Amino acid sequence: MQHDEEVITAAIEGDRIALQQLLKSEKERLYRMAYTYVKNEDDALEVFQQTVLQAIESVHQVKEPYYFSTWLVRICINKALAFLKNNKKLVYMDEVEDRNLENSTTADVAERLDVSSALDSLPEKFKTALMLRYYQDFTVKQIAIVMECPEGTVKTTLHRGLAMLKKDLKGVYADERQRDFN
Amino acid sequence: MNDKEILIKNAMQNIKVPEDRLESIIDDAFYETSKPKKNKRKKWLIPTIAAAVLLIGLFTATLSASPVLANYMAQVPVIGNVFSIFAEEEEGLIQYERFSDDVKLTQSSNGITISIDKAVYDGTNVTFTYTVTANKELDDSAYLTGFPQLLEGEGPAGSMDWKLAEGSLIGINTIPHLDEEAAQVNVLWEPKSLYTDGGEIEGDWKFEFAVDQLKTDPIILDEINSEGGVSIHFTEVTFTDVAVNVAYQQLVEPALLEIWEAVEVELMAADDLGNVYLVPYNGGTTYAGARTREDFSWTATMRGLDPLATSLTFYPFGHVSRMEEGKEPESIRIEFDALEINMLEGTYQIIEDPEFPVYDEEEEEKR
Repeated sequence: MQHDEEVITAAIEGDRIALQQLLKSEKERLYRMAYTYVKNEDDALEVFQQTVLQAIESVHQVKEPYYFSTWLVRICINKALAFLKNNKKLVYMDEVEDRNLENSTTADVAERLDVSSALDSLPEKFKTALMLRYYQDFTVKQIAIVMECPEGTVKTTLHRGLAMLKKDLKGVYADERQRDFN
Repeated sequence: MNDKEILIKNAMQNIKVPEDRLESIIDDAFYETSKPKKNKRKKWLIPTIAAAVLLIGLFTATLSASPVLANYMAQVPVIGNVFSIFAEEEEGLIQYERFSDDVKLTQSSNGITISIDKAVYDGTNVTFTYTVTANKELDDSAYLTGFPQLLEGEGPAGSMDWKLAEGSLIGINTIPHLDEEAAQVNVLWEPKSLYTDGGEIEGDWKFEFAVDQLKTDPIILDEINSEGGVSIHFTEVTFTDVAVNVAYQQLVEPALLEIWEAVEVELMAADDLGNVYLVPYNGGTTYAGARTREDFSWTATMRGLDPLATSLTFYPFGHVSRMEEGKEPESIRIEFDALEINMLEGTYQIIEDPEFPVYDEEEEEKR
């Protein structure tokens, strides 16, 4: 989301009304991001609340106004992951792969159609990369900053995430790359 | 924006947002943090306010395609100018306005009128524009669901891009289809609904139209550059009135995949006038006889070539990467020899160990 650079600069310099305005314009995106991790409204609101508080406390640390949205989303993801960890709701890779294997043989077409379920079944880093790229419309560079990894890794993560998504949604739509990693 | 992007966006949009509660949280946060600091911050109680309800529009579909409607649409100022409007932000689209054919198909259902405006097929991509108008001005949450496809293709594929212009939704759809032999291709598009944050309106629209291929004269290439266990095989480049299309394969040594997982070979380009171009790929497919799972055939399309340029050089580069659970992801970049195309003579030559051009960072950020 593009914001007026002057408003962001004002927020960084301590203008609380400017920051409040920015957070309100980002609230839906932040909430939806939080929700995709914690899967229920109450917990998503909790994560959202923690994100807002953290943003208020540390907005002065933002160095480049351009990266305000990147910085904010990064806080949200970190809060969501910390919440899951603290509540022991984090699903580990092995479990995900086991679940995928089961799903691939038993899932019916209706389940396969459900892209949000498919997204949920992806390991966290793939889901995060896909949501940042295709929901937040972040550039590869911005995603690299949020995920703290090289841009080349982001590209590969995106492509592999899409391929895994395609596998989960097999038969529902054609993937132009038609890539199969197995 | 491609089909998966839209699916992801849809999935995210389907999450109901308790807007009032979010507003309260923000307001309370600013109120709380304006107070003198306490030693310990209390855990907040989330106010319970009814969640916002997404209204789904349910109307009886009424399909019409009449001269009256066509006349009405002709008066919509953005009609006929979609490429130009997008060209204000994206280089290289203005040629599409000039060389595309008029389609002028208009249908209306449930108060939503969709008009297919112009289309062009350059042997690699079919690109067409459309405009959507409603009884009231649309907001920037609006987009159409339902992916177009080619009767000659294998299911939906490609990308969709849209924006709001003067209260109407305008968009460009692109479907990749590499076939220089096809004099004509046929597009089928049945948009399912118009989505907005205020509700989703389903309708009954169906468009079928043929698009003639622009005259193309591909330069057949057969050049293989190898580096670090990965090879790029240039097979063809086509200079059309609207874009430059290049086809290539990536070939990967099986031994490389014992260590690494994924390989992506991409291109950038520069002309003899010093202009640097991104060459985004349209998509890749595996092919018969591929030695490894990472062997792909790609097509990539470059727009906005300076008309005064007489040569164009492609700079191939790739990323080899692996991601193991519990470990930091790793990737290495490979740079290949470049391929210079002489556009006047239709010849090409390899440039060994080239200095890679730098693409304007600001332009890249806009992507």
